[in-house]
Amino acid sequence: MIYPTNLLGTLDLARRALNAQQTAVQVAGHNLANAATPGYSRERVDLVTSPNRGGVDVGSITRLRDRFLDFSLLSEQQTLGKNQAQEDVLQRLQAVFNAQPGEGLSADVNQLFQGFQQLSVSPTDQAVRVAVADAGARVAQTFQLMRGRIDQLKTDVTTEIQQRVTEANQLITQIADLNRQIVGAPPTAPPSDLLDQRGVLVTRLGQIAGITETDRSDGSVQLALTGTGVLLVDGRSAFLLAATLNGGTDTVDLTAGGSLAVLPKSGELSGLLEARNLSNGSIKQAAADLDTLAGSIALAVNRLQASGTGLTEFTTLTAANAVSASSAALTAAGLAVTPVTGSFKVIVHDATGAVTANVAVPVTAGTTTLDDVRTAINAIPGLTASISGGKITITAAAGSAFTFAGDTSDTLAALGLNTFFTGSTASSLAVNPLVSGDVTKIAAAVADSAGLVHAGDGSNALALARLSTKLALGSGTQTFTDFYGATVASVGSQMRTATEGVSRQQAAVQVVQNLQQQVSGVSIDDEMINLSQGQAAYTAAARYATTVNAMIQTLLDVVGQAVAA
Amino acid sequence: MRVTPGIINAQLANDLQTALTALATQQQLILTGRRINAPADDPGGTANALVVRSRQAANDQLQKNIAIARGSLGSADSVLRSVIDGLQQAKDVAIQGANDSNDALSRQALGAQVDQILEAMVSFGNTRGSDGTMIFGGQEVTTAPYAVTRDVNGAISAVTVNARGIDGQMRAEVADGLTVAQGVSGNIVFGAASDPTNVFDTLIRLRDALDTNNAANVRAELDNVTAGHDRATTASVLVGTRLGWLDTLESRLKDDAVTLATSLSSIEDVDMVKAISDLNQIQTFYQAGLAAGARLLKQSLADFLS
Repeated sequence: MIYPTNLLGTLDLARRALNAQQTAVQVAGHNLANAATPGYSRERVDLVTSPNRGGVDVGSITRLRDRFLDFSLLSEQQTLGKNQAQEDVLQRLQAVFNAQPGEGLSADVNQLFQGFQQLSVSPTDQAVRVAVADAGARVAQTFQLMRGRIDQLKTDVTTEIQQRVTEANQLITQIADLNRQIVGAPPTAPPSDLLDQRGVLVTRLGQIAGITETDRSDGSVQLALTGTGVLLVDGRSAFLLAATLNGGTDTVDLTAGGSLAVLPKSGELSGLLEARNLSNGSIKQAAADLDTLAGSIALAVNRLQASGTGLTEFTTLTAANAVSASSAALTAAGLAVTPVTGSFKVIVHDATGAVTANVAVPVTAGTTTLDDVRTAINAIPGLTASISGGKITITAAAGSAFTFAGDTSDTLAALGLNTFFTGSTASSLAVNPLVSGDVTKIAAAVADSAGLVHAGDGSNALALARLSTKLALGSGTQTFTDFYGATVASVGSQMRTATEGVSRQQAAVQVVQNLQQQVSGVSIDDEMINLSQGQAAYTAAARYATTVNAMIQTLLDVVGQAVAA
Repeated sequence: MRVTPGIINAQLANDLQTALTALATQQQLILTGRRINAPADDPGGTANALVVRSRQAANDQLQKNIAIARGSLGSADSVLRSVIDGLQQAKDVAIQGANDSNDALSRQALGAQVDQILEAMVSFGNTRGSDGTMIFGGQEVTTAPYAVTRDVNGAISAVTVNARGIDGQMRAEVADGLTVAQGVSGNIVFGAASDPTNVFDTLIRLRDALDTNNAANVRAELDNVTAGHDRATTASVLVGTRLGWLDTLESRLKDDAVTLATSLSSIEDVDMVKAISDLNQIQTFYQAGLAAGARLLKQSLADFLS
């Protein structure tokens, strides 16, 4: 060290010491003031001894930040965002399937089959028939309600995706703007507070969209969607996201920078888009499962109902389902249920219940058309058939009535002739108005081999009741209850996995945040010590200045006396 | 490791949140008494519970079916007793009528008795059960199984069976895949129309023989009346056996119901003792956390510098 050679230089040393300590106190104050500011990085004054002149200078003010922790926090936050979005969707999906014990779809289905069971024992009991029709209506309503709630959830998620995109776009714009300010800042004044602000925005954007951050030499950051490399921010350029609902594929499509289709791999948007779009994603899978269940319950019940007979028979009956063309093969006529090769019997009774016709109508897959069916039925004495609007109508001659039996071709169920349910999906399922309007049409009986129908025959109702234990789904491994149970369990276990993922990921985020706090967090104790230290040093420097001042005074006095003398 | 108030605050907030979540969960467990309050609590258990509930519903229904079958078999049983009594009476009359000591007048008096028995038998045959269905009509529950033709004097000259057949049976499922006939066909009780020894034809012939003072024919019908009595007794035994069987099945279903309830409880219900002791433990942790937090949060060097 080279010491100052004059007293005035010594006074300058005191001035710089006062300055330096004042800066130290200021920085401590800044730190203390921002102790609770999210994303704030504490600053530290690096004091250096002044070369040549002696004394102290403020070397630099350092922003304490570990960029690698930033990057790893960003990555953990993205995963957390995805998990949280998944959990949120699943929680709402789970609510659709959650029911009080003894309530819900499964209980309604049980009730329907119990109703059939009761009907098999008391086939002539009108009250039991009304109860069966009601139970059927409740099953249909519950299906519709659940399916409606899932569709609502899908709409809600679409809205949420759009809200997230809006928020992400604001962040993208703000980050690009901060990049501009940071790059433009004079090198003498490092924009540490802008860096902190940008850090907060980047973390939030990462949580939404899943991004990879790269530092550029000019101080700006480049942000790209993780896994795709599609840029969102590059220097001061912002590339905005856009979400559009694609009705054709029933998906929400995300684009970046105007046209480029993208699919984030992490972040909230990724969780929401997967749940919303994927055909095996939680929402669509649950909806498809409900449709499958509703369709197979309807088909199984309709098959038996169509081959059975109620307490009263039909004088005229119009099919519930229309074919696309009456000259097209039934298997290619746009029916929800596809007929197979087989036959069904049409039985005509006179007013006394005696059999006047008992005719099998053959159906060959790929060949038989609705026109053929009409011709075959027209050939049956006492019946006329006509087709209007793709729907066949069968009418019996006055005094006669007709019924069906032994349909091995699924034609009756497919056309909606003498069915219990109409519709084949969860949202379209309903009890056939013919049945709900006239419960005597519920087919508890089945015509015997001679074509006679007995009022006390409950064998068809028993067959309907036994559907509850039939392994009708999952390639013959599951009953309706098993299938529904598996659907509920699948939603539940996805929810469980998501919840566990969230809590695990929260712990991971917490760890990184702790590490970051260790580096960047403000300790009030530290700052109080710095403050006291700065204050003491300031006091000392001031005292030093006073002392030097006194010395100069002394010197001036001595010189003055010498001059006077 | 450098610890800052930020770290302590975040840690504390996190820990308190965890404890509070655990408290809320535990409280829900205890209040509902159920360990599954949403499918996610136990996905497999939720599915199992649905299956068990569906089996419970089936079990309930089978028990109801048994009650209905017991009702209709019980009606058949009591009518059968009257049928047997009537035929016993007819047997006594036939034995008396066969006795050569009778003259034409006393045989006609006996014939009038047989006619009454015949009327009663037709009425028994057409009995309706408590639900209004024909007890002996098989599946033809709305049509009387027996129709009568009367002669000019109003006496029954012929009894014809419902042409649509009364052999079909109303059946009730009483165990998985197992059905019992809810009643017994008139053909089993009274004999089929094709059988000349059926009760109605026999009684008509017996009455006519008594009316016409034909002792040989009366003797000839005595065996048929006895056979008819035996046939009705056999039918009664059949019904009695079925009723006994229903009791056995019902007690088995009730056992099953208990088993199902137990397994449902083991899937869904909370172990209360454990749940409450867990709640106490979580509460203790939570309170300790609050106390520690309250001490830590308010302190810093600033409190001690003057």
